[in-house]
Amino acid sequence: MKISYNWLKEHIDLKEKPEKVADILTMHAFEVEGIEKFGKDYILDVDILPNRAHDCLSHIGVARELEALLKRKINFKLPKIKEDKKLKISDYISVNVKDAKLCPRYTARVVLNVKVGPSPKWLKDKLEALGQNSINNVVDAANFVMLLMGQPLHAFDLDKIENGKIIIAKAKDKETIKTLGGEKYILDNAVLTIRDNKDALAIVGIKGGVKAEIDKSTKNIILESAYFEPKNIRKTSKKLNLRTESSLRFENEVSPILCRKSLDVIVDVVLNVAGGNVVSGVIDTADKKYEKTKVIFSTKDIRDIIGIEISDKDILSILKRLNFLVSKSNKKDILIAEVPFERLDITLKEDLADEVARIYGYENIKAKPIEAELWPAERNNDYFYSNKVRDILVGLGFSDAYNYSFIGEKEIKIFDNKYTGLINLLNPLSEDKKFLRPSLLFHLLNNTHENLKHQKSIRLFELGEVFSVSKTKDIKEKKMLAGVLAYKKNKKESAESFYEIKGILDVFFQKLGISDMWLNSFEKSSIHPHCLFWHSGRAAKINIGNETIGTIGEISHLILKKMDIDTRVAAFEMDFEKIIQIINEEYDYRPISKFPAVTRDIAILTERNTKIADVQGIIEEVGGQLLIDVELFDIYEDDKTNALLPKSLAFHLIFQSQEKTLSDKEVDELMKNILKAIAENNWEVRV
Amino acid sequence: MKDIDFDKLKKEVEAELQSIKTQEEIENFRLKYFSRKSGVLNDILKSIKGLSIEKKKEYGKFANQLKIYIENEIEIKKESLKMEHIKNLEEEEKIDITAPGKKVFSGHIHPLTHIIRKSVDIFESMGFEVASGPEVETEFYNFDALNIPASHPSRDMQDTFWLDPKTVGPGFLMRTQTSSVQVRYMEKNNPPFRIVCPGRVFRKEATDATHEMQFYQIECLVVAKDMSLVHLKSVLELFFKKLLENEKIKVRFRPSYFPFVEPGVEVDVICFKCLGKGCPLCKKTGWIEIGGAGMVHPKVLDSAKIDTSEFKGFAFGMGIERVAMIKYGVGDVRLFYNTDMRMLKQF
Repeated sequence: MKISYNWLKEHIDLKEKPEKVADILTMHAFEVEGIEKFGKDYILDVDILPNRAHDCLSHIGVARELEALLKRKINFKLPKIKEDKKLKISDYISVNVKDAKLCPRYTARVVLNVKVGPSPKWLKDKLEALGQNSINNVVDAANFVMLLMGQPLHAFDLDKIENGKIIIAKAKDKETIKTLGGEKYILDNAVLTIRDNKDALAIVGIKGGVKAEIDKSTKNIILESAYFEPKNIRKTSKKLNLRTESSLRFENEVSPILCRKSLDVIVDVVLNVAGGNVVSGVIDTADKKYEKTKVIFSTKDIRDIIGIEISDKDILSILKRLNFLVSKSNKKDILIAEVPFERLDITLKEDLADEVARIYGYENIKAKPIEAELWPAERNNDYFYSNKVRDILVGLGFSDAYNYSFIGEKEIKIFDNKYTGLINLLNPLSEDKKFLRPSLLFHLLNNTHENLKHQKSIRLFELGEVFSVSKTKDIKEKKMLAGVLAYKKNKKESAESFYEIKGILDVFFQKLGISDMWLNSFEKSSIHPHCLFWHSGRAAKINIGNETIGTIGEISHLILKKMDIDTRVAAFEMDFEKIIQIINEEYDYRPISKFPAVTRDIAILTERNTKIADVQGIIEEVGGQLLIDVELFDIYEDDKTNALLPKSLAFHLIFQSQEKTLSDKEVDELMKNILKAIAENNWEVRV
Repeated sequence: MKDIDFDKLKKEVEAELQSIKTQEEIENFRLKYFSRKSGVLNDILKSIKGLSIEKKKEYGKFANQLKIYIENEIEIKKESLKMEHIKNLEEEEKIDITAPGKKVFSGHIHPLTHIIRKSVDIFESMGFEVASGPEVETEFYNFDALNIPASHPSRDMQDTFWLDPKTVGPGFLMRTQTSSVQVRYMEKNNPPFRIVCPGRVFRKEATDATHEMQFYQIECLVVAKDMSLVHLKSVLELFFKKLLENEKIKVRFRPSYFPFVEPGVEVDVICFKCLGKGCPLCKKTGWIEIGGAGMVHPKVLDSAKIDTSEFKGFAFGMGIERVAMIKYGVGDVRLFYNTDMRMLKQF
């Protein structure tokens, strides 16, 4: 809120310069975000947070803070209103509150024969300094008192109200109101209004209407000062998308006691700037004794929360300066603090500790080490392995990407809107961030496209959350690990990238102590929308043991084309949570054999579509324990375009025993079995 | 037979050895003396067969000494020639070590990962356990349980992305703060505890150089007996000294308001560039606003069913991007989410 330094000076004797005042407020109450010179005045931009909005969106509120901080009494007295005893308020207006829940207190006075006109210079200047337009003396008076007291007020032209009958009730459905300034709002029957028998005169607590507007011809006025239920004000203000100085204060709640006090202040100001006589009597729909909040506490409580040795005397002195009335209870050391009526934020002893701490000064609160048992932190596997996989992938040449958790229409269009299970935001910031990302690949592919403009090769990974929703509306949030690999130039048909990323995953899993990763073919017909990413001939499911944990492969030509990527991209995306459940930190160690290894080579002709893993599997199965390694060292395909022609696979077979040197005869015997098995599968052995 | 002049012979051998420059010459030299057919030493040994026993003994002794001498010298010469050869070879193979190194694929850790790790490491070293929670949260954990009731203006302090209730049902949002993790942790664990929660949070804010719609927070929470603001200050001072690698770092509190703490404070650290003198980094104030903290509000402890008569807690939270920007001099927060290799390669 904008606070005028000169205006503060009217209520408290300030010797301190504006900068000093700003400094004191910043360190003890509210942050002053800036000071601006305005004529002979200085305007402080004070950041009043929601817990003090009910009392400090006002000059008196800020002056009261300075009162406690500077130990200087403020100068402010409520006016005594001279009423015209001959005139009775009940002869002029009646107020009927239909909804006392939403309008717990409504006070009003009537002033006759005012002279509406321009405001005097002092009033104009004050409002102008704080960025408010001057309208006329009566309206300006209401604004002035709001800026002084923090209580929003309203003035109506009495003669424009049907029979002087004011009703506080819900609007009619689809009723329109033209508000001050000329905008029209269509209301519904949840909006609380001030009305006469015919029309809405104001949207309660938010804005007045033109019907009972104060204008040059206005003579007799009603001045309103009320307490409206804050949540309702907030709801209505949001619904109508209409925020005003008034709604801002009401939605933060203003003390119900303040409205009656402020009513007399505005009457006094109106008489001063517009003249008139005050009709005797006050409309007050809740004229009762308001109990002050009491907080039970001990000075030890305060010391315990702050942690410093501050004396009872100092604590009580600070509370007194803040206008708390502290009294003893009948229990030893237990005190009762009666909270000033305007301080709606204080209900607990912790609130009192906050008051004491800030007035005492946080700069006086010195650090003190914790004395506690030593206990080691439990390891959080999610965090621990997040770091570990990052380090492994960085070691393998991949960089750590952080992308947005959202995707937009553009990404969805790539999939011809076929992507199901998407979660959309109710209130997105922009079209390109409308949905929660269901896969990390969208952005990684975007990153590939962008980076290929200036990089020769791309190796990126991201570890992050993805989101989807099931048909039963269950939200699934999963942490995924995805990576992409691409080269600016690559051979047209080469599947090198695929095998490169497959090799990378081999190392990746080995480093995590996972030895049983295997791939199996990937059915593109699967209904999961995610499948559409992948090249139907060059993708596979990644399995560990019996568990499928993700997909590896090249990105589909279709997707690449739509994302404007002019090269092949190999990628993987895996369920990180599944991986960390499988990770085995025990490495399988086999002693190194003391006996020599024997290597035999074998070349096998198979059909083109025979899977290498199948051939290798059969060799390994028949070879048994003594066959310690099968290594593919060559694949030869005569004519790649002719699927009918066979392909030739060449393997090194390595035999070794833990117990003895293998004889040629023993190895020959094993080779014979292997050759037999190959023949049984109708593959041909080339010698 | 005439006398054999062994001294002369030895001198000849020495002279010959001096002139040998290659392995080949050594071999020739060896053959000259040791060849079975025509070797000089063999000839001597043959020629002394017919001599008297004394002469035989005398000449035999000399011949043997000479033989051992030559054999030794050949070995020494061979070794020195080998060394010389390697020396020459390496001289020939000399390269320009200033030529650029061969390119290998190198990966890079994201700057935000660096800051998160460093922060978490410091807290872990003080016995804080890492806690985590979901990014899609319920209204309860993100707001209600943190003393931010519905229709309360304090909700406006954090503009929230809501999920479409038509898609997922009512009450789901993108968490606006990692404090939601506090509540989840407190529900499942009994005090005393110390936790640290790093995580991604979301705010519906227009983006610019210093504001992002998503960012990382790190938050710490201690719940134990006798905790107070002085302990909070101590933990933060230790933390920032280590994080900013400067033992002169100081921390100050300013009054503030966060619904889930009371008292609540703004945390400033002394500007680590100028140590409080005032410079462009701290906008001449000497201090850098870094996060929020306070004593955990009794309502928050209550909603996690922690006995407030026995336990008190404090919490602190800060934005990771802000620290990364200050520490690395990154001028625009959006760069962290662009995945531009030209930026990532520098970390």
